[in-house]
Order: sequence, then C-alpha cells, then structure tokens
Amino acid sequence: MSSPTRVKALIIGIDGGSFDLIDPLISAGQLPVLAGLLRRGISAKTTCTWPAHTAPGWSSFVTACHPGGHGIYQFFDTQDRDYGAVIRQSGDLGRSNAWDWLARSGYSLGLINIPMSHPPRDLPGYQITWPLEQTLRYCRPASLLTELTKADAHFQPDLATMFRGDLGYLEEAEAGVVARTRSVTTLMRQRPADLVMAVFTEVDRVCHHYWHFCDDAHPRHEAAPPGSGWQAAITRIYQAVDAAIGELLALVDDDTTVVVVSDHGLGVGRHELAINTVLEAAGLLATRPGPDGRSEPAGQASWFRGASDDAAGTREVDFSRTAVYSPVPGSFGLNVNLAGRQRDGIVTDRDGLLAEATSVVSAITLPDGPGSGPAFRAVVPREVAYPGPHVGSAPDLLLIPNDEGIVVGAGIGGDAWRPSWQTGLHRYAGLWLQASPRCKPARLSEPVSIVDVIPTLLADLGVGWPAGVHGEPVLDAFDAGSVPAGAEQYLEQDQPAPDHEPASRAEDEYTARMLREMGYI
Amino acid sequence: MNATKSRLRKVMVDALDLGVDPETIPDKDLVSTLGLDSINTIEYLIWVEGEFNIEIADEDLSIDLIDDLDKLASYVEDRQPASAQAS
Repeated sequence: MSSPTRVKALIIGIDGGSFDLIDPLISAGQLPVLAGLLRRGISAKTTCTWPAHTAPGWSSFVTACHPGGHGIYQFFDTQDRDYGAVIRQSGDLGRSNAWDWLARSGYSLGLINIPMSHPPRDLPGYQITWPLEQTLRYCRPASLLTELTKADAHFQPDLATMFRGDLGYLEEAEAGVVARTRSVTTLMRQRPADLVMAVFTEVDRVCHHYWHFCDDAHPRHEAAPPGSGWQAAITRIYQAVDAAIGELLALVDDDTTVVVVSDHGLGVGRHELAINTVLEAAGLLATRPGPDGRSEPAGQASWFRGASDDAAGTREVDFSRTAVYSPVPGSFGLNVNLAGRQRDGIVTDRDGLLAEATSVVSAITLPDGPGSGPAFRAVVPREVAYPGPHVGSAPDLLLIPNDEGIVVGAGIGGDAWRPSWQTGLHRYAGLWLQASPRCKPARLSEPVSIVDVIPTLLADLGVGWPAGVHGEPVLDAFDAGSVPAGAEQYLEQDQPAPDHEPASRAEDEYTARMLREMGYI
Repeated sequence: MNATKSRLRKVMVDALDLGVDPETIPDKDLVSTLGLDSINTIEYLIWVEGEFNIEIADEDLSIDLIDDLDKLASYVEDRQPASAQAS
C-alpha cells in the first residue's frame, strides 16, 4: 500500500504554454527541468479550442469534452438574452468533470488556481479557485488562506497579481511565480492529496504584453529600455516557471504521474478587428446615442457602448434595430438577434441572417495591403463548430481566423481594424506532456486534442471515466501501446446539479474592469 | 476599540508590506493616504479574517470598510465572540 502522503498525480498548468517557445529555450539549455521531464515523458502539441481562449480551454481540459459538451465558450455567457456580461462559474460547467471522476475513485484533490474553478465545489481535499469577482471566499476549506499566511506562504489570486498596464509587471510576475510555488509546496507538505493541480498564469500575461520587445520580427517591435531586461521577458518567465516545476517535482517521486498542459499557445499579435463596427457598416447592426457613460446595472454589457473618448462618442448598440452582433469580445462569435430568444430580438429568419452575416464576414480582408487575403478561413455554424448538448449556449456563428495574429473585439466606433492592444495573442496549438513509469519517452509528430489529456492521465492511473466524453486516451503514450489495465469507462447516470448560487445578471463592473485590464475584453 | 485598532494597524503593515511603523497609520482616509485599491483591500481583509478569526461577508467588501479604522474596528468587534473581545 502506498504511503498516504504520496502524490499519485501532479498536473502543472501553464496558461498559454507553447512548445514553439519552450523547445528553442530547451535547446539553449535554459529550461533544465522541463528538458528533463520531456526526456522521460510523452509529449505533443495540442489542438485546443476555437477560439483559443482560457475559459473554453481549461473547461475542455477538465471535462474531456469540446465546448458543445460543457457549454463554456468565454468568461461570459455568449447567449445572454439581455446582452449582459454574465460571468460563467464552476457550476455552469454542463457536465461532470475529472475532479468528480477522481473523487468517485477515492482520490483526494489539491486544486490550485485553475481557471473557471470558482466558486469552490464540494470535493475531497482542498481548493483555491480562480475568482473573477471580488470575494474572500475562493478557497475550501475556508481556513486555507489563513493557514498559508501563518506558514509565510500567502496565496495571491490572479486578480491581485495581474498585469495592470505597468510594464514593471515582469518582476512582479517572476515574484508571483515564486510566491505561488511557495503556496503550492506548503499545501503539498501540510495537506497531502492524491492528485495536485496548480496553474501558472504568468506566461500568458508576459507573452501578451512583452512579445514586441522579445521579437525583432514583430511589426511593432520596440527596443527594450536599457537595463529593463524586457527583451528577454518571455525567456525569464519561462525560466521562473521551470524553476517552480523543479520545486514541485522535488515533492513527488518517480512513480508519480506528472502532466504539464496548457489551455492554448501564444504567438505574435498584430491586429484587432472591431467586428461590430463592420456589422454596422453592413447594415446588420445599429447604434444610438449612449447614456453618457452612466452605468446601467441591469442593462447591456459595457463593451456595447463606445468609450467617451472614442471618436464615436457615447454611442451604444441599439438592439431594437440590430440583426447580428458579436456578443462578447474575444469570443470570435456572432449572434443573430433572434425574436423570442434575445430580449429585443427582431430576426425571424435565422437562416437567412446567418447566410447574410457569413457573406459579410467572409468578405473582410486582412489590413496588410492589397492581396493580403481574407481575415477568416471559415465561418462555421454553431451546430457544426460545437456539436453537443450545450450547443444552445454557443454563439450562432464561429469565426476561424486565417491569421491567428488577429483578435476579434466587440467594440463599436472607430476604425474596423486597429493594432491589437496585446502584442502577443493566443494560438490554437498548446502543449502536453505526461511522464510516468508507464509512458514512453517520445514527442508525437501529430497533435493531441486537449480533450484527450484527462483520459490519458486517468488511463495511466487506472481510474475510470464516463462513457460519452469526447476525449480518449492517447494510446501511443504508453509503452504497451494500449491503455493500462484498470481504467474502464462507465455509464454515468444523472449529471450533477450546479452547486452554486446563480450568477448575478447585472454586469459586475469590478470584474469587467479587471478583465479589461488583463486584456480579455 | 483601541486595542483592535492597534492590531489592525499591525496587520495592515504586514499584509501590505508597507514598511512603516504601524502607529504612523492614521485613523481616517487610509485609501488615499496608503494608496489602497480594490485589490490590496482584498489582501488586507483576508489577513484581518485570519487575525481575528472572523468571516467578512462578500457583500460587505468595499473600499469604505478600510478607509476608516474606527469603522473597521467596529465591524471586527461586532463579529468577534465576547470572550475574544475581552482578551
């Protein structure tokens, strides 16, 4: 029988982690810990989600289902009938997930800083969630934060450590990785759990905001100020995470299954497309004078209003005259303003408007001069993009970019194309590696779907998971080329009911401001 | 009340790593004086919860709560058991 303190599985999440960045750093000898893990584990690039985004990415990871199977498409509800900014929470996941399946098999869990995990759920072990709201109640048991504080390992949530426009953030990010590692290692020592997962989000933030300093080929490349070190920001933050992983590995043994996984990758960011502006020019969306910046708690989300310092003044979307709109920035989605579904819906011919919107969007070209080609390589109906029981909460159309260096915003007014605020943007390809005595060391040439990561881990651990999830074990991961004995799929009966209070329908201005500062909206 | 306020000052210095003598922290206008915001307010109140073994409800979270040390001390004392206040 194994020691009660032995960690059976350690999952390390690197939000925005990418082999495109890691591999060259390893070749240069700058990430020794990850290099060692890769030498003894199976690894592959991953296909993540469209859009490549934190919310659907981690939700797909934890449920082993594509977004149509869990219903999380963005931080916000993309089909809110009132056009509001309604935050998605852990209880909005439309199905059971890995934590339920592991708990069912008797696992205790230590879950730390996993996006979309707030509020904490009733699970064995402990949790520090990833709140997108102003709250002190983001851990379970409630005493956890105090315990950490008394152990000189205080945990700071992402909202307290994020990028807030000051490029001095790099040092804070490095310090944040160190502090978070101290929290995690303290918990691993003081509260042994069978499975521990911790997510580091600093790589994502640094890649978003320092890419142009690190990449001479970036169209907006800027020399880093002397002595700032920003030209090596991406290297530095990966080195910080590499050292953190080393500290975590020191607390497990060779029998522990170790997984490193990301929710999406990162690459060059170039342009933002204000898609609602394009729709307005095409006569599919209408605006009206706005409320002079006044907050309307029960009204539509703030991104549907033109900023007061914008060329459009204080205009807002007039949904009583709008046929098609993008519901949430970064969702790469369009909704038909459907009568009977949306509060002010006016469209009765959904198919006709979908066809018209598809035609308009397909004609948009990249802003790189003559011959630069279409902005989107596909405009996909949600029934095709997101098959599953939760397709109804998806945007009606998904826009898949030709060039992942663009982001689709939802703002109104101004030019349709503008430089992206973030100089690094998300990529569809993420990363995965799994090291255990049962896995063979190799880099797979073909990508693995993010929904396959959990089934592969559970197969390794001999833990079952429900039949019907989209993911399946990566058989090439294992020495024998087959799933280790013991991991059997089972029929799941009733899905667990959400165990949280419904989110407020009023826009949380605090949350919106925080997400805006993080660059999510 | 004064004992509670002294503890609150000490916790504030520790939680926010202010590097000042706790006794130099004023009773009023802490937000502008110390540059507090909604982020470090959360940090501070987590420490206050631990120090006084109380629970601060999310609906009570506000900058106002820590802008005035008398107000916060009163809030804390209202939520402490009588035995703790007497000690």
